[in-house]
Amino acid sequence: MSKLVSWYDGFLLCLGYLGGICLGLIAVMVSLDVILRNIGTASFPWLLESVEYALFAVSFLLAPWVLNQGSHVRVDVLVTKLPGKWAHRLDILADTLGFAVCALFTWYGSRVAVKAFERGELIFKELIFPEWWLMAILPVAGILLTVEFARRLAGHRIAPPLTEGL
Amino acid sequence: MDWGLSLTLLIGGMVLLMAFGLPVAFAFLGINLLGAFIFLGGEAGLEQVARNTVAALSNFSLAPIPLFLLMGEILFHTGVAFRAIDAIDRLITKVPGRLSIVAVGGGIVFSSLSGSTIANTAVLGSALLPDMLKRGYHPTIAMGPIMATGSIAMLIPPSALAVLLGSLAGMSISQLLIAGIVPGFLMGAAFLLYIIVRCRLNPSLAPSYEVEAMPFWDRVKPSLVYVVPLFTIFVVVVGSILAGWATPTESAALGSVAAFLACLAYGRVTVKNMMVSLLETAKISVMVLFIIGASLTFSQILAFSGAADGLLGWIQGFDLSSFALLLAMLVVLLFLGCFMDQVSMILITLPFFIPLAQAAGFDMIWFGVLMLVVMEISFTTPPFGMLLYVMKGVAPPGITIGDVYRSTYPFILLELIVLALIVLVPELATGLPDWIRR
Amino acid sequence: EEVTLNAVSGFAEGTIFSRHFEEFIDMVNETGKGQVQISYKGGGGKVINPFELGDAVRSGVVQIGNLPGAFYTKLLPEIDAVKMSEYTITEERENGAWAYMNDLHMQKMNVYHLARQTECIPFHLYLNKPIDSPDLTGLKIRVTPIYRAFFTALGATAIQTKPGDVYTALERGAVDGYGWPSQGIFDLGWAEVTKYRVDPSFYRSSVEFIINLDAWNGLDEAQKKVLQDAAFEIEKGCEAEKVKSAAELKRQEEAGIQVISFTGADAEKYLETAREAGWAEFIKTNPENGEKIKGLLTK
Ligand code: NA
Ligand code: NA
Repeated sequence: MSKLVSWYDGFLLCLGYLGGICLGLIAVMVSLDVILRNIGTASFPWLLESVEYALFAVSFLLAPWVLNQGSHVRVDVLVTKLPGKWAHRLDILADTLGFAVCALFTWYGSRVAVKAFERGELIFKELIFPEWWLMAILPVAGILLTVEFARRLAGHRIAPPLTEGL
Repeated sequence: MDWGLSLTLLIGGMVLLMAFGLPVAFAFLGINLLGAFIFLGGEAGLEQVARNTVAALSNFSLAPIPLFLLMGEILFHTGVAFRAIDAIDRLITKVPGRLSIVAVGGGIVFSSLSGSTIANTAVLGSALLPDMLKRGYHPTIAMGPIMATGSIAMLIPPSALAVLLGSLAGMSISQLLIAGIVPGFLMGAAFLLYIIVRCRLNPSLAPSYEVEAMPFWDRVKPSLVYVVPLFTIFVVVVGSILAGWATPTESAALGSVAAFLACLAYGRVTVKNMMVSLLETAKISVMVLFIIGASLTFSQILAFSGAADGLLGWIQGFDLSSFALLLAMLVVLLFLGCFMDQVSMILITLPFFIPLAQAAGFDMIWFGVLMLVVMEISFTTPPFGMLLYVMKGVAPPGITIGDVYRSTYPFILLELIVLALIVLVPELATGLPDWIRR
Repeated sequence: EEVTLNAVSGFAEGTIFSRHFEEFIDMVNETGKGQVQISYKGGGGKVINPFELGDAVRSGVVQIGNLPGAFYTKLLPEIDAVKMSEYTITEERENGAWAYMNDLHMQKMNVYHLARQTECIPFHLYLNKPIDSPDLTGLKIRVTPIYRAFFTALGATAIQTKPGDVYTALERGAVDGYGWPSQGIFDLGWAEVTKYRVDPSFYRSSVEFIINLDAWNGLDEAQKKVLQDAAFEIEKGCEAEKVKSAAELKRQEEAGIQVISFTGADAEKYLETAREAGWAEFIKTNPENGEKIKGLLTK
């Protein structure tokens, strides 16, 4: 079991690195596009849209990792004011709500993705590809987020370590 | 449903979920699902919410956020930012609240290097806050100036937000950018004055410590080595726009590549610190983007439910004089700013405010600067303020969000005073662009 | 029994492409008392992302939408052809083109095509560098999918930017020009950073009123008639639009925008390139019924 957990955490961290590399790549490619365009050789007409889809994909696919790291900001005014026992109950309430919200989101996200798949519609901009490629990210991220909230309910709560290495 | 009831339900529900301690992004997501079910017609509405979130995030205009963050993170993990702050630290001799003053000074420098209030706050917060707390600084005088000067990054160019506002409102972007300079520096001056006075009156807020005495040249030299060359980043960002090589959004990418090259020139780049920079950029970007995605959808539901129109219509119903109208608009913005991000505020209010402002005969650059200043203030007004969260994110574990909230109040007051000054003396905003045009 | 339908525009309230839709709503709310009313939720990104509006009308979250076909080519790729149509909507209703397209709307996206507005507003190429023949080689032109095939065929480097970046990109020379309808560049503020307009105009803009099919089928004949009458009233606006366009072109010239006017063979080549590049791209993306639609829409 603990092996599975550490494998899963490693998987989330991999997503984190991939997302970071993706953002770095955006900086490099956009700069390259600007330079090439201005010296008049070439430009990448597909770049703008690729960046847009990457922003969405990175935001969703990394959100579970960010949650795993306890780095989604929250307002802890109430939690820090309450005595320990009640603070713990409030944490459980918050995580239950989070679990429910993400489970609902996964359900409706899946419906969107399935419908997009069934309809087979193509996104018609500079890049042409089936819409479901994009929408499939919703249920995948949704499931991972739901799992994370379940893990928090099971007692796996990491205190915000955002400052590590900072 | 009556707009007042819709407004109460949506805003109240969101505040409640946030108070329970649900992460902000998920509080928005939860209230979006509820709001969609009620106002967007049941299950089809819930699916639409999922789709809207995709559309909200697939937006090139958001690209400067990770890119400006990356700029900050690179300067930061390579240690170059710390050297720069150290250099500024050297420039400043013994004064009350010395490190808070370094924060304001460093904040203004980084404001002209980056267009991101978030990166600015994160850099200053993680560079200076631990030292301040260690030296016994009170959290108010430690965190307050960092967030306050952090938010100035959107007034002093480059500014992703000024560009967005100018484009959406059809204002001249270069003029709007230039118009933000004087108000930005005015705020910096107000913060400095406040820190000195406050720490002189109550020295226990910022215990003084010995500053090493050194000759003039030793004081200045580090700045020439570690601060002045960094302004090439500013030149790349602003210059590439002015020269017509890049669009404002693209200039953010050039800026982060320039930051990388600067650090490379200092010999500070390693594979390890680049990977850490990328990972941390990803972490904060995702946190911020996820909130923006969810809160944009929240704003759309607010508009769809009629609550936003109702509120604005209610204000129009008073048939106000142009001065009162201006005040009303600023108050509405301040109020919205307590609950939503700056992009959403712009989207919700512009369709009403621009026609109202034009009808009232306001100078549009002046009006744009006022909007920017209010949005700047909104970055730190609780309960929803992006910089409050960033500050909380980089602060040591002992600091509660309540401490963070409290530390901003004096600075919010100062910012409101500057806002009032610009309202009363429009030349503070319009003077510089007018002078340059001449 | 009075039915209330909600409506959203793809453009901000009060702007050119929302105005007729708002007139339509006022008309319906006036003549439809006791039968059908429209609750207008506003327009532009503040209510819903314009590119999601087509989906929202399909699913019924929004019942009536006002948006150009370019915003829903994902749902109905065939709609792209409307920009090249050589008939007015009134003529299309007679020659069967409207019926064919409306069937596609119903089958593919569960909406009924109520009306088309502003079809008499054509597109122009706006530039900041002068040209003396229909050749855009070496120029960076900001495009949307509407113009891409045409401008690329003229040799331009096609550049995509966000609408919000256009002003600065023009001001600073990051792009040398853009395509846009004859009206609207003052609303966007782009007029102050534009030096030339190229004549003749090409294609035409068109903005569609679409209604969710279930909502439409749920109306009785009298209610449908209220909507349809108001829609036909809007479709008569062509001549008025031509007058407005002429006034706006004049206003552009008064604001200092110089006209580069092609005549004779140059004009012929310019328009022929627009037609050929546009249809070639259309038939490539719609291999099944592309030719059929071309036949219905061209003379
Ligand atoms: Na800045
Ligand atoms: Na706020």
